[in-house]
Amino acid sequence: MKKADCFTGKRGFTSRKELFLFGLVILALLAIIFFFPREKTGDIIATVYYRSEEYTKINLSQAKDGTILKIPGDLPVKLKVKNHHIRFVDAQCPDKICEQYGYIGSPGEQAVCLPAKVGIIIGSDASDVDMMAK
Amino acid sequence: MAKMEQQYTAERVSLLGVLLGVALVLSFLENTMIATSFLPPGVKFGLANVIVMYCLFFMGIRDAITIGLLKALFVFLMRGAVGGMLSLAGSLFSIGIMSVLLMLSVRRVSYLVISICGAVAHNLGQMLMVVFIMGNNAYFYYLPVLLLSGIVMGTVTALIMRGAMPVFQYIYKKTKLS
Repeated sequence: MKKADCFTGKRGFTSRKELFLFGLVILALLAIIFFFPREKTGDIIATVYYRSEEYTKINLSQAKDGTILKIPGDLPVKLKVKNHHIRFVDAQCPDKICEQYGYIGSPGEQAVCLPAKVGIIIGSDASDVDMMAK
Repeated sequence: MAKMEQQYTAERVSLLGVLLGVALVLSFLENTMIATSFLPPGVKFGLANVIVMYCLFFMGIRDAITIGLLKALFVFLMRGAVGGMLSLAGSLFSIGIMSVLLMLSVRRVSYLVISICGAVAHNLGQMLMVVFIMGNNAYFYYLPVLLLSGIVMGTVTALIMRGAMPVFQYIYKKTKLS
């Protein structure tokens, strides 16, 4: 690699063309995020994965508030159901990133606890897996 | 000046050490800020990328990789194997993409593009690692969000770099390391 080229002045910070392009890309991504069609029919099913295999399914539309699901293993975690939503609680991992996801309940939403290898993916009765994952 | 054989003098090693320290402090700061913010989990500011970019632009690919590896090692020690693997995946992918862009002689790529591609590549690398660990493709759901945050955060780090450029050039001139 040649000498630091901020001195040679040949590499600029940016250009108008690039800014315009990035603006377009950002708009496109925002459109995808907000307008992507979601399956809204049917009951909401939370699929819990443990070690890349399906561990159990919880029907969030019908589950009772306060239901707690314990996932055993090297790093036990608990899942709590409330108001047709589910979340990680009482995770024994150091980061607790999984708990930061909070309550999830819309089809397509996810939460994972990587150290425990537990993942929750929300789908619906009509099609179990979000369209994007197909 | 063509890249000659690098000598790991005490000066170089200590500069790398200081840079690593700054990168770690930045990581720590952004993690404490993130916890109380509105961003979805997994989104990071990537302030430490500024340091990696300094290494890449001013010192060489080898040093940038060194910083990336040491950062990942630190995360591994502080937060466990999973965190370390994520950091490693993100850093290496990011440095790889940025190096390729830097070496393109067909068209001079601007700093902003390099920074954004680095941030997006960092997120992509981490996402690939998540999918690998969990063994399930459905986790690609977060892709648009990560791409968007990569673009935004890449812009932020590029702006920081631009603001800090006088400092970087001062360090570069003083240490004459390249």
